[in-house]
Amino acid sequence: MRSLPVLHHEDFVYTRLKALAWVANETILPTVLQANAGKALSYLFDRVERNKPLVINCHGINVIDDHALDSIRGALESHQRPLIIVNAGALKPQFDRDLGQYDLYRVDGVTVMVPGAASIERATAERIVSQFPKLEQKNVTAFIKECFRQYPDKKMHRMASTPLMSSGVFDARHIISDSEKFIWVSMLMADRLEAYLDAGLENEGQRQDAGTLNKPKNFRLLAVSLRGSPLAAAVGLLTGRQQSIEIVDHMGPKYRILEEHSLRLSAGNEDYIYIGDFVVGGTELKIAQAYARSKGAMLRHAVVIGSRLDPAEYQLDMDISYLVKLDECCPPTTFQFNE
Amino acid sequence: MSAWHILHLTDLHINDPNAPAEHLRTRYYKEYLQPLAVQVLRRLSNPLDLLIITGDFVDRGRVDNFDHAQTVISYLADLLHISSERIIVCNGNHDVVRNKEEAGEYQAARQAYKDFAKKFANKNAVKENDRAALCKLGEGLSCLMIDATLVVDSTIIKPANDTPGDLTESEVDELMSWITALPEGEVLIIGSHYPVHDLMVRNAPFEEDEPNWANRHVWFRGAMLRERLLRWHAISRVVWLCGDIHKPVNIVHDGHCYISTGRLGTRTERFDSLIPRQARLIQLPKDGKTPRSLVIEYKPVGHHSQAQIGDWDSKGESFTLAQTITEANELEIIKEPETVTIPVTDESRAEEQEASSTITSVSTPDPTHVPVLNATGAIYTMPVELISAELQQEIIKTITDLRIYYFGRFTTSQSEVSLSWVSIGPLLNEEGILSQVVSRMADSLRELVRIKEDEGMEKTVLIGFDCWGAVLASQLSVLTGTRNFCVALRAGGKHNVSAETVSQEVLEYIKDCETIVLVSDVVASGRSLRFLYDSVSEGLGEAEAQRLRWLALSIICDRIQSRQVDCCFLDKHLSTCVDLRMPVLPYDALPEESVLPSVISFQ
Repeated sequence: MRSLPVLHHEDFVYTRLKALAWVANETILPTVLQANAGKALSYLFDRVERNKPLVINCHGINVIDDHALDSIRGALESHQRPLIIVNAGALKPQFDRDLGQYDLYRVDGVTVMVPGAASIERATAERIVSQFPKLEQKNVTAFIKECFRQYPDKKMHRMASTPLMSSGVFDARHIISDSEKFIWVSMLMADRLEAYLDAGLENEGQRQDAGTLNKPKNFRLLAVSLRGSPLAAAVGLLTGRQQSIEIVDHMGPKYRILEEHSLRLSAGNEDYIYIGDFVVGGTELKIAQAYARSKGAMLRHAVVIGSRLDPAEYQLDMDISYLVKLDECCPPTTFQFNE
Repeated sequence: MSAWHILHLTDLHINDPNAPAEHLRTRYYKEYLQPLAVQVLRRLSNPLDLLIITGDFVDRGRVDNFDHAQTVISYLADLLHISSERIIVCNGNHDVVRNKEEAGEYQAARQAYKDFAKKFANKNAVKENDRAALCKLGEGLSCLMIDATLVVDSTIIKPANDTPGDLTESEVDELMSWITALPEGEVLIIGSHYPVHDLMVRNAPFEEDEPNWANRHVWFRGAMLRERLLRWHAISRVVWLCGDIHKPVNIVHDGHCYISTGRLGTRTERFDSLIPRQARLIQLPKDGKTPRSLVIEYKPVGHHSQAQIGDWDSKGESFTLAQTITEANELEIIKEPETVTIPVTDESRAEEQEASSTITSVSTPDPTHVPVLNATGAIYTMPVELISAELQQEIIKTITDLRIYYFGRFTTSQSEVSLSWVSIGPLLNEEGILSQVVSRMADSLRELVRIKEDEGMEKTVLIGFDCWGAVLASQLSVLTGTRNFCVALRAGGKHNVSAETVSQEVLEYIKDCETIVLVSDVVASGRSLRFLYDSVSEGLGEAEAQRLRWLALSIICDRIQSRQVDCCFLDKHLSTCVDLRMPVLPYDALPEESVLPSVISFQ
């Protein structure tokens, strides 16, 4: 069997249903769990570190197809491996139907189901549930650290995209080229996008009072580089926004737009959300802002893998969601203005 | 690919390579054959599988001309991208040294021909004797090349000038023992210089002024082999190819096909035959169904048949079925010649495509399309297969509805200009198309690499070209567990940082792979594909590049577009849309950019 997206903790094994759905080629309906993903899940249940509880994060899955859980139900009946299902509130009716008896409670606002009566103590389940966000972040941070490469000559070099000097480079190809890393990084970036949009919904009234539209009603995901393109497509597919992916070849690291005829006014009231790999000096974002303006639109937000600075320091008048601060992943003297 | 494509030539009759009366003379054969290659290539959507030549390479025993015959054949083979391993020959009566034959020195009379034949696939025969050579040409196809001129038992037939030979019962036993050992369902081609069926020379006595013409041109003794083969049903299809009679015949009788093609060469004489010089392209289905063929003729432009100027063309554009003969005494056409068409962008023909032939490799070119030649005379087709007719239809409809097909000057390299552009972004933004494209490509990729859905591809690497190729490659990577790299290839990557090109890291990974899959949105000239191959070749060495299995996946690739770029290193190219015309011209075929500016330029 090819490898499936799982993260390993000393106390448990963790996966996301959405990642399984992606691997099982179910991105046409990204919020639905279908049979192939269900089979992948039961494979994990049966084979991967069976001595540890399996934590399944259902975030982003709203519907489970009939019979998608048949194989996991069979696996539960055949052996008593503890199963912890989190963020499954919307799926309760299907779980009621397919998994039978389970304990249900909330931990830090997260719905938790533990099928198989008394298969795991509540305290244990609570401890495990508090760990999985850190597990995701820890793994993703490790992936990002691995994509930093110091220059072989150990000298500082001027960066291509921005006037800073650096002793090395973060190359997102190391993440994109490895499907496991790509899946987890993309999933967390999709979470950041949805968190931004959800926060906008909650604050809408307040922000509108201040004269700023927080959540664009129509928006497109914008990628302006070779390495940003797969990330934008992945985030688009995971969030059900594959109709809204716009790729401009390319504004960074070197600037050269190869399809100038794409610089037309966009039809309709569509703003942009930038999806990219790393923000160091903010140059690429500034060019993307200018691009959006040239099309009569606004660049509202950016979601990136890593950022060197806090968003306000780029003076872009917009927020940036990122997975890591770059100084967590490289030596502190990596970036400087002069040699 | 569901059919083999075979080019049948015969009767070159090279008499004097320096004489102006010869089409195949040293100073004309290239001009003569190059347009023939163009005509052949424009009808193929996949590489030619075989070249079969049924004898009379030289004229009147002039065996010194075998060297020139090999030169001529090699030239044509290069143009057709076919190696000597896929060329198979048999001798004709003119390839035998007559005086040695009449002196009983049968071996010596044929030695020059045998040395010549060893330059081709004949050297790899799995079975061979003085009479015949059996060659295995791939899965499901074998070829038996017979010397129909040889006389083994002169008490039965006396060797005479230019007449068919004999065939003894024990020889037939041996040949049948070879044939009955072939796997069930095998397709068998038999090449012999003389026709083996008298139906093939029907009407000849009324055309020729020799009463004994049929006896001099039909290998009646071969009928014994023919009759025994008719009763051996394990072979799914037998096709007899021959020459000698210098006229095209194409019949099916009792399930066997008998095909003769007219001469390719011979000197022009004062009273030359009215039947044009010709070649025949045969489409031989792998499932044993009836072959189809197309004769391509060379027609002089003047009143006389001069070996100077003429044009190659075919009677119509379509492959046609043979005439089926049900009664030995009459010719009856059971089926009208059937044409297979692949509709292109005309909506009214979209439904026809759904009901069309399953032989997807048939190429029905636009009659107004003119292939483009480069300075060396070589042109290339891009054999590409369609992944899904249904998805193609949806793609073309979306392109039409969104009006995202643009016409103009799109300068993608210093050598070619694309006259069309499709905005891929809006296409893939349409509901479900990106997911469908990725899903179908993943299924096709698993089939090509022969793995199951839940297996990973450790020895395979995906290379995504530019932004949308990177998107597709990364998605395919998730679905198949394959490593991928995105590389910038527009303008050779000169507008990108080195980390986005074919870097040392990419080359190091490729070194450990067996299969490399090139993933692109649109393949127009093919230059990016070739650039990647050349980069790997330069970085790892030609031998390493050739060791790899090269595959390509694309969203759009016009399958009938002739190209100046050689992409024959590709083992397979699959695309989700192959019937959208995306014309490409040489850069200097258009006016200066000051007159006609580029809409897009990568330079």
